[in-house]
Amino acid sequence: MMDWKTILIVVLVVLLTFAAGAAGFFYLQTKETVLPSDRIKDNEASSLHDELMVDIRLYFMDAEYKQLVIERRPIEPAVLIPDRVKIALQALIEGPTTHRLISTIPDGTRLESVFWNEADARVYVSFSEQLLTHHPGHTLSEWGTIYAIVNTVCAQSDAIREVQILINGETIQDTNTVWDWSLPFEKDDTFVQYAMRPGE
Amino acid sequence: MNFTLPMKQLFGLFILSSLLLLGWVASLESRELGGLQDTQIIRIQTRLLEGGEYVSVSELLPYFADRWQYDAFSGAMLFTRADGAQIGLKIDEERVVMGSRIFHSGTPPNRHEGQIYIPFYLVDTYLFPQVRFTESGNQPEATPLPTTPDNDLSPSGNLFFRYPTTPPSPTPAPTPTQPMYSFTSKETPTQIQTSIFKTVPSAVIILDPGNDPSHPGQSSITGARECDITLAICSRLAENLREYKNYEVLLTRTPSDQEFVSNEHRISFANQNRGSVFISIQCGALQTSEFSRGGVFFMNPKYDKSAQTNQTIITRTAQLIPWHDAYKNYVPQSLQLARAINQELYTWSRSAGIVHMDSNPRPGRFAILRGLTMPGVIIELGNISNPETARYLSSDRIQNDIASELEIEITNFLYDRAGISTRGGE
Repeated sequence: MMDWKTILIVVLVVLLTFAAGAAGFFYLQTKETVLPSDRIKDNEASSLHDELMVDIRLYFMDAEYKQLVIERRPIEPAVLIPDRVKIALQALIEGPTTHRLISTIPDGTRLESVFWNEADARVYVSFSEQLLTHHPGHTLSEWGTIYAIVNTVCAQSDAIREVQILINGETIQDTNTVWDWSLPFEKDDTFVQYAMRPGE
Repeated sequence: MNFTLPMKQLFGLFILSSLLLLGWVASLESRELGGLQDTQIIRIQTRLLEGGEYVSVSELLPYFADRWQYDAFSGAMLFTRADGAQIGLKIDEERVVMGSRIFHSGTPPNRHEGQIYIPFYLVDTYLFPQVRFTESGNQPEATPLPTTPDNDLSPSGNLFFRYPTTPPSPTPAPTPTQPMYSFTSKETPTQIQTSIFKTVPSAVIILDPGNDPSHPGQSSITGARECDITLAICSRLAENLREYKNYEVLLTRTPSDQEFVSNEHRISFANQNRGSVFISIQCGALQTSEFSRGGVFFMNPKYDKSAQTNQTIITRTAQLIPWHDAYKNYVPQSLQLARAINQELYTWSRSAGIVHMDSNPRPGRFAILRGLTMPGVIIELGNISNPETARYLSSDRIQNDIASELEIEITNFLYDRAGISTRGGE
């Protein structure tokens, strides 16, 4: 049978451990970390290669689901518009490298193809069906997905005016989406926060 | 050193404090309030706050016994008077709900030093309409008031009451329209309603519960499904609108509908039934479960190039609707309705702090609104993948609250559109 002194010491030790744990937890919570992507790490190794890279703008959702945030990411330059769009959308699907940004592309989504119609200044981007079947369905979530794709694509060239999103090469109709995905979208900067770079 | 006795005492004190703390927390979560069942004499003490005269809610509780409710989430209070009439008040909300009527009081209830205070004007007019208060020292006196034969809300034994005010309040001075202490003749609630609401605008309200059992949408970890929550809230809202307003209310899907209900069908249903207003209620999930956000959305032609041309839409029921007529004419009204609902839900949700709302509605191009021949809005209630939100939106009380808030705004919108003022207190 332990005496009172021992019990008190045990209680104090438990309380101190809990307090230290809580303090550490809150410290880690408030400390924002920025994880550089492998691509960025590679860039640090080669300044020559760094000079050849160009920044692209990708759009992700902020943590409070209020607006889209631009993340700039260096990529190898591509001449043709479809190639640039493909690289940008692949990076978009991979997700953000900046802390507290949220990817709006559902898991499992694949980019199928990209087609550029110069006459209409329109880019057709075709995704796999997971873009909709794995989508959580909130109206804001749909908005984030649509304009993350559209704004990212339009940011790759001033010549691009609108973006038609397709699923397996077909227009999106007769689904239970809240937004109307059946027609092309134009870039919309109404709810976009500017000036954000990894590490800033 | 011998610590035996002090240590024992200290440890005992620690255990006792913990038990007291637990008891206090438990008592906070399950607070029971009661009072006298039959009120014979009303004694209330007023207090001047920010230039107005207020009464603490704790002063009123003894006169309402079990016939009052308080929702800590929204700050809403519901009092049931002796005559059965229900009075809804809300902290920082100027509107007063009396049964199915809405009045603008101009002075909302508020919080002060941890207490809830209601303006004396509201207490006098709505909570004790048959009582004539008179300032008269500390001795209350009761004198029967004459009853009018056509006053069906008069409780038996109307009394003339005097109540003590300590210290006597010098300001503000009584005005002819809002007497502070006494009325020589009081309008009964029935008379007030009659004078303000001369006619009820006829309307067909289309409510659209999002998703359906074949596409139930997202589910929470507790098993609550999006399609069930939206249907429950729409059903409560429909019940309120039918019962209190005599509106015709139609749902785009009912509990018996188990098959897929397409957006096109919902729009055709609304157009065929010549709806006056279309309200779509959604409750989807975000990509994160850590945060919950809702919003109100409306159609904006800026996002729809078809609306800028003469293109037409052929619906499943072979309706040919020019886009211009379809919804472009209703954009200002949709925006007006969206703003009103957004403001109401924004204020309401802030008190609970569970679902965050934008301060303004958002425009867009929506499959569920495209082609409507009436004003229409989408209401996204929150993120169902957030466990707290799912529990919150699944509760009967919150669903009733949401239905009540929407009922008020839809009614106000329809009255405004019909050119009838709902501002009874002005």
